[in-house]
Amino acid sequence: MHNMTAITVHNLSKSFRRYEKAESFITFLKKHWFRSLPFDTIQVLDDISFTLEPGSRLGVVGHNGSGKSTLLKIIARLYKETSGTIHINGTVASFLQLGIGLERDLNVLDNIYLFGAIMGITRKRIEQHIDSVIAFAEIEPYLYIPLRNLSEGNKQRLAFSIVHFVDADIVILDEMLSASDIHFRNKCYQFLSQPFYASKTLVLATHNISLMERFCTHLLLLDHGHQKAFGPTAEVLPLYLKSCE
Amino acid sequence: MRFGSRSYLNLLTTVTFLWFKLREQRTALGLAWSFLNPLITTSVLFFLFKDRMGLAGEKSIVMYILVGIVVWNFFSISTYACAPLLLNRAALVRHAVFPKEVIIIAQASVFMIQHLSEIGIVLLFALVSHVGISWHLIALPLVMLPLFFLALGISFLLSCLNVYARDTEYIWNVLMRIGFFLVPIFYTPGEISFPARCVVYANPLTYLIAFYRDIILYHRFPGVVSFLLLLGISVVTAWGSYVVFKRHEHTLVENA
Repeated sequence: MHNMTAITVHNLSKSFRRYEKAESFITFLKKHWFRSLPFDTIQVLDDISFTLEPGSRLGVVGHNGSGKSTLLKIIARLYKETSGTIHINGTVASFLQLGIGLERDLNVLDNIYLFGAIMGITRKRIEQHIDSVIAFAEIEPYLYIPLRNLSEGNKQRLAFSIVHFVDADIVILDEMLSASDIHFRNKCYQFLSQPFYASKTLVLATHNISLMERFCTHLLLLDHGHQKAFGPTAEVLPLYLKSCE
Repeated sequence: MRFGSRSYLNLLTTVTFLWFKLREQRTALGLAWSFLNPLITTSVLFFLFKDRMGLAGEKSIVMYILVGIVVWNFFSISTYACAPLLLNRAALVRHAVFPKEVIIIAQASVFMIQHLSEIGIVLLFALVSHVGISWHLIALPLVMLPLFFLALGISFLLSCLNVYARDTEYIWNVLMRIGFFLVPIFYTPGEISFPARCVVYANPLTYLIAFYRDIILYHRFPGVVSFLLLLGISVVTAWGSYVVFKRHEHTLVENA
């Protein structure tokens, strides 16, 4: 069954331990050698199950603190699940926070190479596509100025344009394009609608209703770490909208 | 994204090069600034200890101290800078999927590039002074290997530990201040009394500094057996620490 699916999540739970005191050397020794430091267990995700087929587009929705980002990080294999199982078929590229790793004192061109390298893209591949990326992000006049001089919107343009280079089966996007203007947002939507991207499995956490309607084939509604609903967008979206009232 | 050997190497070289460039951009004097520190420390130590601590019999007291300082600086600065790295770059560690050890290796490599430039200046000093240079310098890159691996191994452990115990970097800073007096930088080991001498001889840096001095100052090769032994110790330290780091990688990401 797993071979037919892109992502299979079964009874997945995730909890964190929160210790009462800040982590000093003394608390570290107490925690790991004497195991005497009191802690709370915070259940961030509880019993999540769903299956996604290749080419599906899943929108993970819910209020702030519902566990969306934690779920995305588990799918990206950044976090390890506390219990349950997750099976992923294919390569995964994750953009959990656009612009991470960018250096404000380096120029824009250097930052393209830096961010690309962090995303696992070779210099050769970047050089092959760099012209289209610069044109897409509309940042040609700023290539040799330090990143700190760019507006937040332009930084997001630069970061999103790196998605161009990615050649993975599953792409994860978290809360993207919040600072971009409508013109660039529409451009990104068009890009994600291209046949090249249509074959990929997309998982995105978002609060943007028009994005859910336009792109997501499925929605997963989370509430305080619990799975409230999973299914086709047309079925789950009214439940999400109702939860927002 | 899965990192193959090509994208791994690309990540390591790109991050190292751009972080080095960044470091140079942020200081007005660039590389020259990094060399002022060993030069000033050497001058102070020279005037304080030139006719004490067994230095009077040395071929060149300034070069003796300078070589010791440059080797010590690489070790202390790189380990101290790597200790808080996972926390300083928490956003990157928590949100990007890439082999996290790369940021430690890249940071240590940045300081190795700086070390190379400092060694260049030391050789320039040797050339213009009566010490001179010799063909034994071909062994210098080999001697840098155990120094790099030792610093890298300690850096892996410190960066790991600092995520769980956030005062590790401050404790390490204090230890480094004490450590400065436990390596023969401004004295010869023979001048130290018995119990302290054991501590000095138990420190791998004592031998690494001696290797550098053999090549640069005394124009001879270090002993093969002692070199191989130290290389072995440093490789085992780096590999063992790397294994510990990788074993805790998920927890490090969650706690950074």
